[in-house]
Amino acid sequence: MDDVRPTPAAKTAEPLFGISITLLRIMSLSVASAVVLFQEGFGYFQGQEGWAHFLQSTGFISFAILLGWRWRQTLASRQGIRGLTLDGALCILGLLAILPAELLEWKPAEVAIDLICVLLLGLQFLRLYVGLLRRYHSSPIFLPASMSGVILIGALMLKIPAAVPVDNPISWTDAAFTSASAVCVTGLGVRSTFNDFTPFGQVILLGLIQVGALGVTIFGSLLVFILGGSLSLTESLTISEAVHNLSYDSTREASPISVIERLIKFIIYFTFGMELLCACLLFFMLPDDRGLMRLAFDSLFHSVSAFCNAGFSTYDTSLVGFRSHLGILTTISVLIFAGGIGFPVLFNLWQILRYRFNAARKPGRIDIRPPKLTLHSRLALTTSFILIVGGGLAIAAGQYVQHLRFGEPEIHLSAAQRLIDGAFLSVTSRTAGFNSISMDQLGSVAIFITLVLMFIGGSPCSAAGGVKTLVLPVIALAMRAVIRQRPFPEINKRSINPEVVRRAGMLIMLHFSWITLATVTLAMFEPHSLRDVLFEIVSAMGTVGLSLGITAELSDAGRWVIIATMFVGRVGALSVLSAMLLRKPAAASYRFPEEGVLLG
Amino acid sequence: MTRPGDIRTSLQRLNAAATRRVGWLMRLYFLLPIGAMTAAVARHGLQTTGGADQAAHLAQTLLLTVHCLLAFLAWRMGWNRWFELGDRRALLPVTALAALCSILSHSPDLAPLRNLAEIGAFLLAAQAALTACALAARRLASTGSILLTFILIPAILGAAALRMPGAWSTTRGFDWSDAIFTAVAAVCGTGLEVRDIARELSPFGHAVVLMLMLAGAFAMIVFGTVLAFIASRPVAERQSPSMKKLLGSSPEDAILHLPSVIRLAAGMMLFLLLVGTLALLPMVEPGKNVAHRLMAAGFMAVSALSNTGFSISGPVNPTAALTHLILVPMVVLGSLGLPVLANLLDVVRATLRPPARTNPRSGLRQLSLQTKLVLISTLAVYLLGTASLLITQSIQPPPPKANPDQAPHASAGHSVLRSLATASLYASTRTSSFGPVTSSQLTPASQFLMMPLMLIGGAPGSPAGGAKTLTLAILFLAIIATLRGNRALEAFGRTIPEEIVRLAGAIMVLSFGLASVSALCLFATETQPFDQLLFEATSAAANSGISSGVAPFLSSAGRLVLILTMIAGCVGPLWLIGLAWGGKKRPISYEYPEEQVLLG
Repeated sequence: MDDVRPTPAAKTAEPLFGISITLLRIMSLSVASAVVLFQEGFGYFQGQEGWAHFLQSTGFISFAILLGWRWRQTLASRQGIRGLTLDGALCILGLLAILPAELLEWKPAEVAIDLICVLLLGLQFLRLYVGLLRRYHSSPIFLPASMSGVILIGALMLKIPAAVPVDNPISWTDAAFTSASAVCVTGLGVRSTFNDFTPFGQVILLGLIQVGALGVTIFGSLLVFILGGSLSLTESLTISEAVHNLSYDSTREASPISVIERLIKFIIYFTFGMELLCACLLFFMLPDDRGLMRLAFDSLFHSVSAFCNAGFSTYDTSLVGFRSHLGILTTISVLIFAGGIGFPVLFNLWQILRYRFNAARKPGRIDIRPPKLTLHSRLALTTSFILIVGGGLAIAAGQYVQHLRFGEPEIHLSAAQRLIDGAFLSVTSRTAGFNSISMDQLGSVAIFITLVLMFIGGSPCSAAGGVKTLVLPVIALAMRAVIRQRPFPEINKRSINPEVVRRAGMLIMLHFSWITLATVTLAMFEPHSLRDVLFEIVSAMGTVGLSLGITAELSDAGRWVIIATMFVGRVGALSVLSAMLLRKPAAASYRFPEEGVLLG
Repeated sequence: MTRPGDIRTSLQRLNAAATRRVGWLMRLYFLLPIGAMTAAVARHGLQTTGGADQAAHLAQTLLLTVHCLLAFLAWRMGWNRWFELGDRRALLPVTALAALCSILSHSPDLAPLRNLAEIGAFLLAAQAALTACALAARRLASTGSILLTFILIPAILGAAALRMPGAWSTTRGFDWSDAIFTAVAAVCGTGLEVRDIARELSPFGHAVVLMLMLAGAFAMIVFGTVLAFIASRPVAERQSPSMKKLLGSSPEDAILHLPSVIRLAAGMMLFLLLVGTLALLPMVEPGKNVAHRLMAAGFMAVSALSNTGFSISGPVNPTAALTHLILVPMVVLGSLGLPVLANLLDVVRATLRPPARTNPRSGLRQLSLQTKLVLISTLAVYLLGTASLLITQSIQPPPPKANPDQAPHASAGHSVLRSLATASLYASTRTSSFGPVTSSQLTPASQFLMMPLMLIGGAPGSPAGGAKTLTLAILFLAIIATLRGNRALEAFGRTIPEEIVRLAGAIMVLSFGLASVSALCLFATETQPFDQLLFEATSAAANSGISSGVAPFLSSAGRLVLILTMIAGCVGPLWLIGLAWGGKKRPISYEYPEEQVLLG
């Protein structure tokens, strides 16, 4: 993380030189990645692979050397090896792969180098993003601008000829739609991921999903967790609480900057760790009838897509084929849950785990303030649990009624299968978008429950969309406070600031208004029933990706409505929140006399 | 009637009346006209003939005569405590006339006089019922239950009357579910029809529905105003002078003002109904006889003023001048609410006859915050609603690809004028179902737009349902206050108390929640399409009555759902106010520490 913010030592020693070295490093990496892009994407260097490989290797090796030099420098300045561990590890892997690739022309090693180049470049961009974020986070247009930039780049990349089959070119609208759908981790698709995109295009999609999920998660975590968690910076009690919870067992001083770095590191390591682990699990469970390489890619794709709550699948019928495969469904569900519960909760749990582990190892140690489950974690976990179980049961019951009434062939489905169907739909509608049952089999009850779940969505600071689970208990507690005639919403002997209730209400109204606007617009131009249109819009707004089957039939205007909805659903709430959080309250020096009105 | 300024004396008298047991003679005095009216209902409803008819006639005459004697006795003997809640001396001629007509009509030549006697009996019974209301309101505990009682009692009586054979005009009678549904719809001012009111009810049935609409509207106007004021203990001292003049300066005072409120409401309704009926008379059912036209015009006037929307003279033509010049103003006046109308009346009086030594413009200064907010929010909803409905009505959705030669939507493609007329009609009468059947007149986009419009509803203290325009205005102000940096809610140089904002939020949540739960129940019990059921549930929850046309085909379970929804939509907001503010205000002896919760 310290490339963008050079360590004081490096800064004072040779600032110009240091910056140009960093630039050189990134440029050499860009050369190596550009070779990958032109070779794989546009089919250049036909018959001149040797040259291309040479160029790529040179770029890569010079990058490695410059990185090593930088490493030595940080060691000399006794800063420790900070921030560059991941780069170093990838670099060593790449160097190991260069020899077999160049000398033996072993295909997997060449692919590995290509991937490592792109990954390294991605890491540099991540650093750039965090640096910019640190500097410009208070600007309300930072998030919308960066997101639309990524969507634009994604659309351009999908227009690369190699991304789609030769006989099936992609239009600009479809490229923008797919890119927006991936970056906003929605999963609505106007084209089949497997048939209408080449493996190269699928890798681009995967990258866009990952970038979209991480970008917004980091932004949201930084903004809401560090800056907005307390209502104002003067309320130092709550912010010190947050910092304490974050920086527990840190021997260094708990400055906000170090907390930010630790949080971002945790987010990145947890994301990649979880995705790799579950990809390995999926590797042994998914069918291998499409070849081993394909199987590996499918596992990774589904793992990333599930953790990022995107819902893209390389199978044409999503997960309908694995309707009763408990292993796959459970793995995917765990990924969706982990990706949607939010990093504040995960971090909190991680701290508690670490504390327990340390306490077991050193029984004599006494801690004055051990990390505990925060109110936020408690509410997020409880609400998610209630939504998953309640939603699953309600969907199962609704489907049972539906089958009873219409006597569909599914009438003889076992109770266990019904519960599995319901539970998976309940998990996936907040807000992943895989489906294990065909969507046209859903009855009105199931559709309505799914609509509500999609609207609510996941927890804050996560890859999930929607108005976020925390809004629900906040509103419910506020209602309880009104009825019990208490001044503040209360739970577990803690009270919630009324300002939070107002924000929650605003988020709900924002979502409602946009959904109404978009649904009306779409209903004016599309010949589909209101139900299908509403479902599509709520799905796009919650960045879910479930659809009753009208996505591919939308007109171009309709597609742009969906694109806008996905964008607003992903960016809108956070932007409004950031505008509210970062705005200094205007000091009112006067107050008008009060006058009541009669409600009811 | 208590003289203004004589509050202390009347308070003593009232307390005496409430604490002392009312003598049996006085109870008899109230029960007698109700008995006479029952006889009249039995005559028309059961279509009695021969001996039974004779007996009913005799009973009616007897009851009216005894009542007349008692009234004159009380008058001559100065039994003032019989007249505690209002000067019934004005009714003495009515009493006498009714008794006289009833006696005279025993002669075969003067038989038509019996109808006159019945009308007299009805007036006396209504007066007795109002007195009973005023007395009972003091005794019932919670505000919600009072309104519930005054909604349920007329509904049950009305259902019984509609169950009688004399109420039907076809051989297929109303069964209990038809009768209860129709009665509840009339009392709650909803206007949903499971049976065709115009064609399947006899004139007696129409009269019953008319009475029910009047009773429901009256209960909602009077109790909606007074109970909301009584309940609003925390803000009662901060009400506007106009409200204090109407309702007293404290909740304890409000009971004293109940008779004058009842009087004012009755007077206003009577005046508006008279004007409306006379204006409508030349326009409805041309070519029929006068009695028939009078009935039709009166029915339409009551229906408009109570925001119900039943019509016995065919559907309303959206382009007719009659609709926009008479019906729409009546519906809008009916939906403004008593506090606003009373305030406007004050303003008009003060402007016409300004008190000596004051600024001639002082009249306008009496406009209360409630009036300003209600008028502006009603106008805003109307203008925005009309504009957006105009857009959605003018655009024809393309035919579905699967079935390209399907007939275009009936409503679209009309001239702009017709679209504008329809849009204006629906936007202004969103709380009453005047206007043609939805499915044929509204495009899908307009249908969706109507749902939030219906849920917004009318103003407090009016028979119009929904979450109320004032609630919307307050939430809108809350958003502005939040965006301006957590300022207090300000409007027209006044601050709105924080308690009201919380309550407004709660009412909005309740309203949307009710519609959702109702829709979910309908999905479970019915097989009709999603869109239509959602619309029907929203319409019932908002007491609107615009129908998507599925109501007549609902199962009994579905009807029960709609009945409960209508009652809850009617009573819900007031019940919430009672819960939030009612009872003894508990002292806040403790507060929990705050803990942060993240949103977004």
